[in-house]
Amino acid sequence: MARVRSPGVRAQAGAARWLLTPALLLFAVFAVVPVVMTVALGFTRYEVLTPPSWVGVANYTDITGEATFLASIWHTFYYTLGTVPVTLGLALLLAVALNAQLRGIVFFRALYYTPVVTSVVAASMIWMWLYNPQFGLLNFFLSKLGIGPQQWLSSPQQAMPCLIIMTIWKELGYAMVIYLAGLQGIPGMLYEAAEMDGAGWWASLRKVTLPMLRPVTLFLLVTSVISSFQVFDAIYVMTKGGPVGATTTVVHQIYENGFRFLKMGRASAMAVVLFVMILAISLANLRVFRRDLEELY
Amino acid sequence: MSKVWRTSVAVMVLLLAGAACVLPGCRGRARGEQRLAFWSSLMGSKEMARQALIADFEKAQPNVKVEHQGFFDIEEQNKKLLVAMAGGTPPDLASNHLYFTARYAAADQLHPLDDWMRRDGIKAEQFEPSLFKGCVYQGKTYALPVFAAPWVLYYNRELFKKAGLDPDRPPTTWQELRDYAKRMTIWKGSSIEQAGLDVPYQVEDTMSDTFLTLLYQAGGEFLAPDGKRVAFDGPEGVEALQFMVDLMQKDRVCQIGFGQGLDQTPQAPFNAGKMAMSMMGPWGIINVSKYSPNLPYAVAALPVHKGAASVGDVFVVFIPRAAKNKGAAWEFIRFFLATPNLTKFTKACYQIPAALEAQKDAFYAQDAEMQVFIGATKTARLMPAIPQQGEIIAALQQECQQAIYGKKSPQQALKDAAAVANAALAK
Repeated sequence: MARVRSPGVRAQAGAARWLLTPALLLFAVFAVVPVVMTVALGFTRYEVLTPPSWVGVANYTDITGEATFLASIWHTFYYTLGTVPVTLGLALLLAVALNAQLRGIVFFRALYYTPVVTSVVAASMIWMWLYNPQFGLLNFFLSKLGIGPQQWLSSPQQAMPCLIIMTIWKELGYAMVIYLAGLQGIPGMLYEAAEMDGAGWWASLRKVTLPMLRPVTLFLLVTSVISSFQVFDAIYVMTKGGPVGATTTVVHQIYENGFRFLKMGRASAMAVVLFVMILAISLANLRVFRRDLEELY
Repeated sequence: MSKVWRTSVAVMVLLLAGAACVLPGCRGRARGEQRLAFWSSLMGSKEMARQALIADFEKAQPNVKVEHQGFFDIEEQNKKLLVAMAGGTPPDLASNHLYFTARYAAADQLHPLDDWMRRDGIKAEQFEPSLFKGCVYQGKTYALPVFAAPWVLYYNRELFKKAGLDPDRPPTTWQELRDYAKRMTIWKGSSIEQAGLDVPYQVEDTMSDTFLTLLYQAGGEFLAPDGKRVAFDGPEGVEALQFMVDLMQKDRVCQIGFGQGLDQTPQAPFNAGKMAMSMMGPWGIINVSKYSPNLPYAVAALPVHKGAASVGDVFVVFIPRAAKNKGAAWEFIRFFLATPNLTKFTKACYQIPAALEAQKDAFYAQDAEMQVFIGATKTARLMPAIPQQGEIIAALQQECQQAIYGKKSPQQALKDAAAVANAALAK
């Protein structure tokens, strides 16, 4: 089918190409080129002060045999499994609750969203104080309940759950807002029909709300998993990967190898491994939810 | 061409032209004025002293303008310096801890100072030998030591008296250190209220510095004589780490998590009078005077085991090879190291000058506290100046933490650290 375009439209298309060029150039230089370079550097030994030298797959065989890196992959999964389901579940319940058209409800929505806009570093420092074994509020409240003081961030077992709780607190608002938007898009007559069929609050949640929100859940699942696989700031500020390496994650290992030990080749290989992991999980998610993808079109 | 096309091109050209005009190179400069780019980590307690030094230098050399860039984080400065060196745009002069320079020197990124030293009569003998050793790499002098921060034992006189100990008789052996610490420790239920001694438990420099101090006191060495392997995993190292682990796990003179995150606040255990003894450098004086000026503390030489040893960090100045204004950089170094300027600087920030002449100043020679630090300088062992230092120390800190937490035996922890270190040395 021939594409018929008027001269005016063709001229605008030409102008559009020129106007897009600066943005595309920026994108290419700051996004595409670094990614390609990272993949290439993963096959080299590069320590900043000396030029890179080709080593083939040596970096990959090296890191896949290293206990610390393998542990960091496990910790990343642990962190994701701990934060994503709880965040999405709680956010959905909150969104349903705050969907009510009461006066002043906007205040509560803003309240839950506020942690999202705070700086991760600032929030981490406040939470470090909450978790402080001697002076922290958490141990203070526990002592009132008769429970002895906990080590929190100094304990290898408790450190990761502490980070998970902080992340849930921080990210809840964002998922809640997205779910709220999704809830607005559910036609009211579906709920009326359900009510007429005798469905209670819980049944209408399961049979109407959740299925209608599947596209939103897909979006939040994919983006939450991607971002939680990349966790770094909170760990760097609060635990530095400790204690005894209990909270180091893949991005933290990339930082340590790349910027502390200047082993850029090794760090690049780790980055590629992370990329492959995230890609695989995202594709799996999209496959599970493929019916919803078709609906979006 | 269409109107849309023309206007958008015009806007883009204007924006690019505007950006080009704001570029740094377009700034004007006075005729005949030299510019000295100086990067340092002389911040915090040393900031005012450094500002006075630069002001004095500019007065003495009116045609040199010093452009100083300060870094609070020494690692940050190290990284930026590496990137600048790799890109060929380093500063003219830099100052940081000595152990970074070995890496720069090994990559041939530093300008040797021997010729200038010969010309202007600056000799190695002018400096404390223990502090000058690391400045020489493969026969050439790449850095000059300015001041040092050796470790001594800080202790709380009041807590000594409360425990029935004589505050004028601090511990002098490992056994005494242990006994005193046990006597001054108070537990309340499952958490410690007063720690007898500061035992490190975090992955940070205090961990490796404490281990190395004890290693040297036990007669051990960091590197084997051939420099191809480490020696800290030998019996002396195990003895040192076992001592630390016993203090934490068996004698329980400190608790994991005690004082976490409270550094540089009045609630830090030593500042708050909740810790009887702590091994630190001269910054302890500044911390205490800032956060708890009424603390009844004193300093003493570190206890002795098979030999006396302290650890110390020495601050050096060095000139990158690709620096544009090396002449002015050397003039600044000469000025800094001149005795009156050096003493003025180190007195202002309570550091110990590396030059022997400066140490003779009344401030140091007639002050009992300062004399303890000068004594510690003489037995100070510096971090080994090898390019792999960062990686080896990081592994050592991780493994020592494993032992302190009771996850690994000291033998196993040091064996694992040595494995990483030897692999790094082999490359």
